[in-house]
Amino acid sequence: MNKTKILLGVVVFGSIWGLLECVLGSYLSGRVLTGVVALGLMAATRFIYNQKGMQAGMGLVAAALVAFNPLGGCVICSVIAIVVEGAVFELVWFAFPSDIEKAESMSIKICAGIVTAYACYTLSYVMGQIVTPLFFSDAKLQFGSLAVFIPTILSKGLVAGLIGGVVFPAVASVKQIGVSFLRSRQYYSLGSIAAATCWIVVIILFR
Amino acid sequence: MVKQGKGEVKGKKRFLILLTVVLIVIGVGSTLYITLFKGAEKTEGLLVGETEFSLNELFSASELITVKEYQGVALAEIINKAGIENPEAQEYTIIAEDGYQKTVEWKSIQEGIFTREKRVVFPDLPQQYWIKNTTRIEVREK
Repeated sequence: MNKTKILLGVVVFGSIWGLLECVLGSYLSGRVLTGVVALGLMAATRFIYNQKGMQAGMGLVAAALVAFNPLGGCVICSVIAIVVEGAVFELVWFAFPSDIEKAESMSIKICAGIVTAYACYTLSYVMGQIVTPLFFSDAKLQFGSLAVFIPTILSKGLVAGLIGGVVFPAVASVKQIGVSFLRSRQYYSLGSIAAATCWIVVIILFR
Repeated sequence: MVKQGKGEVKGKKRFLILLTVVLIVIGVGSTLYITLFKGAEKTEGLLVGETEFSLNELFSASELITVKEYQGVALAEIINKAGIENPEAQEYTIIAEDGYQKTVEWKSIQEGIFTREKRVVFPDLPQQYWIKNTTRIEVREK
């Protein structure tokens, strides 16, 4: 697949991810968003495009869109969390490429879902707590407060992991779906419309 | 592209399964630890230092201030009511029901409010400092 198609895929699916975070962020917990939305979209696009680095790019696009959203809690925390989720996904899939991408057995699919969602949730939470204070002069970086809360983060991460263990095998079924059935013209026009719609919705409705 | 040998793939699969088991054990262990040793602090009011206030005490005789879209009692007023001496020389750890906590300076306390929904709001700090279900404010000398 050519680079322009992949780049459009990054923008389209990153925008969808960002839109879902903005719309659902106020209603769903971070565990559900990570396990369902983030893992679901990143795994699906990895299967469809089979392109390394794409999910980190999607994270950047989604984070940029979320930065426009003044609702739904801490904007900077969300932006950092999404960027970290994309990066952690790439790291996990870098370590287990053939096992995950060519996974045939259900047990490997479930394990991949649990490990990816658990790592994405816990690391993005911790990084959010560490990096966010750097943007505010009155906020101090507090490792002590974070350390006290680590067991709770690890406990919450289990929920995200278990959700990932269900979502991943379900998403793996899209392995068979390719974007090649779309002609280039259709792909570019539909992709551009989808991405533009996501950005317009967030800017008009949430700003 | 370098192809992985069958043995290497098998080894990675085993490692993935082992990692999953380890993460589940860590998650379950953390959940048990929280449940058994760090049970949620359920209090009706707010404990500031050694003084416990009911919500009625806090809200009946105090002027309500609006910060962002939230309305509540000034945190500085609560600290004063609790009889904290030299408030500017202290630091304040705000602790939620689930153990989540953040420490702030007097400067931020002066800007902050405590809402009837037991949420602490600071206009000068990121929202990860806006602690929900606040049960306690610990006061320590800097």
